[in-house]
Amino acid sequence: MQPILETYDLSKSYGSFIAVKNLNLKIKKGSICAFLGQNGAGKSSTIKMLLGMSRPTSGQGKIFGLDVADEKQSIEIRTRTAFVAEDKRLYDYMSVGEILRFTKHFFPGWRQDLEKKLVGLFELPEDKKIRKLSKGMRTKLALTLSLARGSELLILDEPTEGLDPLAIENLLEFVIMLAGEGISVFFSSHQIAEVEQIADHVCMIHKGSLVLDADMDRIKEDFKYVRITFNGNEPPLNFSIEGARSIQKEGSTISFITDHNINGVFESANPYHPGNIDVEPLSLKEIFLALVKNN
Amino acid sequence: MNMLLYKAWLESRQRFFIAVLSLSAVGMLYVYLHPILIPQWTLALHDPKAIKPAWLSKGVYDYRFYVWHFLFDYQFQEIWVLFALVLSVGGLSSEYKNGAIHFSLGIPVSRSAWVKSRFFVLLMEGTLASLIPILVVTVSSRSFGLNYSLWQAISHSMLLAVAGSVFEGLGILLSTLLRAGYYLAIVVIIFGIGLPYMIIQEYVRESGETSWLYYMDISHVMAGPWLLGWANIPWAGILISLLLTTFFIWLSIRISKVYDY
Repeated sequence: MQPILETYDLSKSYGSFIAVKNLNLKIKKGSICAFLGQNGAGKSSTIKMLLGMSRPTSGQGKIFGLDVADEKQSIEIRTRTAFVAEDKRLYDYMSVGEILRFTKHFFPGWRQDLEKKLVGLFELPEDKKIRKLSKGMRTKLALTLSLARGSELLILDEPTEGLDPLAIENLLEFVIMLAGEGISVFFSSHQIAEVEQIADHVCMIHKGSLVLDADMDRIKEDFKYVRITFNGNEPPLNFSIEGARSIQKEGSTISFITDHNINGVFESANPYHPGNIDVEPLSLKEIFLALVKNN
Repeated sequence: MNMLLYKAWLESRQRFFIAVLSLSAVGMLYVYLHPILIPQWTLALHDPKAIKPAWLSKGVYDYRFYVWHFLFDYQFQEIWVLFALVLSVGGLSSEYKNGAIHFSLGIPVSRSAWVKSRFFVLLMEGTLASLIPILVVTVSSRSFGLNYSLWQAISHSMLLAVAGSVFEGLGILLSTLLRAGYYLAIVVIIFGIGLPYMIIQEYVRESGETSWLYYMDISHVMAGPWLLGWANIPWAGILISLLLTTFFIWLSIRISKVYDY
């Protein structure tokens, strides 16, 4: 199946600063892909390139098979894509009703049913000027303007920032509902618990480079915390296991995170005659921290 | 495009209303000053010791000249230029600073369409900001028993707006280059272009037709001859002004296309 979103060695530099470095992504149609990374990791720079807001320094990006750097094709991409920016500022001089009328004009597939539902759910006051809305209400409005577009792809940059817990829950349910209708979702977030709740695929970026690109099920299956105890002896000096990250040695114990098949870890450890091997599952947050620290 | 025009209008309508009110106030001021100034000028005209500018007798005896002199050739025109520059601020360049840029660029519209819509609304606002106050002058003149022809009002207003479009194009270009918020852009454009223009224009006006500066006197084209008719419309000046405007808008589009937002 043709990926809905793909990048080939996509890079972006601002002067000597490399924001995105040789990024290779492939997002399947119908998936909910979380795009994780620290502040300044290159998430927003990638999204801006994908939506034609900034030009790639090198490499290529495609959405629906269309080139993101071509202006005409970018317009086609944006007609079929809904986007919520990290900075959810809108036109302060418009009222809620005015910006709804303005936005729907550009999207032929605008979902009146979703607009009505979201306006009700978020209790958006249609007559109120945007400048008078709180940050949370502005975020809700920005999400409404995006989710009701009837698009094939949702690109959400930190969509839950500024929302209260109830609104976050409503939004996540909404995103799952849209994904159930076959809409693909690509969203960046700092909130790893939310990502774990809804994403089926995770891409992790660190200092502009991709450090993880895998299905959520595979990540949970493969990433393990391993603690090996050597019966009161110091771990052998030449002890090493391929793919081990965040290695820590404490007395007779050595612990690490591995993303390999755990049987391989046992096989690698056996020649050193370990006394005990504990294997524990990891949360996505722990995996994220391990990958970031490791890089 | 309709919705882009609607958005551009909502963005600048407050400034537009302020422009119309201010320019109407300037126009009304000179209507109300007429009964005060004319007796003083008449006295000066008959006083052999008084300094008499060349236009004084026309100003005393012809109300059409009086209106043209104070409005189209002088203060009304200068204030209109300032407002044309103020109204030009907006669109993508201002949104870059205030944060709404990513919402705008997420909409399936080319950057050139954003610039063109801003310019088109600005042209309309500039024309109306010239026409409405002059129609107010025409109507209020009647209450003072003075007659200012509707043809002169409309034709001079249109000339001011069309020839003055060069300032609108320049304003959009500067606003695109600055990428500053509304207030900063307005302050920079007024102090960087508007006020220096007014000072230079006074100098150009006094330099006379023999100076090379005369050929740069856009205010002369905007004012036109005091009695404007089909035969004396300054076509060459209008053409040069429109070419410059087109160049400024073309350049603004090129710049906005290469910017990373």
